[in-house]
Amino acid sequence: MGIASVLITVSPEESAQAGPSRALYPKPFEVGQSLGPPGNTELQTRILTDAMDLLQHPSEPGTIVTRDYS
Amino acid sequence: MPVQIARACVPYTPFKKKLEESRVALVTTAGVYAEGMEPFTDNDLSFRMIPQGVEPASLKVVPGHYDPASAEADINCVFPVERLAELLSAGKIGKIADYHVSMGLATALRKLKEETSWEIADKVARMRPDVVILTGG
Repeated sequence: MGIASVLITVSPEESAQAGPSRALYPKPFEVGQSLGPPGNTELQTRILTDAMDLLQHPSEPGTIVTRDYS
Repeated sequence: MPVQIARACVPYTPFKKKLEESRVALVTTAGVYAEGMEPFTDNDLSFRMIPQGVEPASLKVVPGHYDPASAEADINCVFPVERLAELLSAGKIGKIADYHVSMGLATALRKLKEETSWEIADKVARMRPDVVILTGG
């Protein structure tokens, strides 16, 4: 028995090697801003809820879903 | 006839609950720690249990594998504790776990995989979250 998880990654190539159950890559952000820039509450919430949405609408295990937030 | 060895399977736990009824925990390798806790060092395999409800302004990050400027201005860039609290208030999630877990940058990958990850998994499991959200910084 495990725990359902979802990864928010801005290093998709590295993350892919680890084989995450579910993962979101929020383009175009980089390490240090996985959920976007400081102070952008709406964007951070959107990335967080999009990641959690992968729990209810999953892709094939190991898939890193890319969404563009630019 | 030789047998093809399959690639390692992807560990997967189905999610069968509703988010509105779920307990959510954060696990991060962004090097987040709370004031009063020992900061992370280089190649540090230790982890911190960050209490739910901790004052966000008391959270700090260890400069390691990324520029900490954004996280220092707004911890939610790497560790969305306030966004999670807002989702709770809005009824979008059911509960927040009593603690979140934070690690720094660890390069001793074998020891991380064979020991530390199991210790963290045990700590997380005891909190009985329905969902874990992972961030890397």
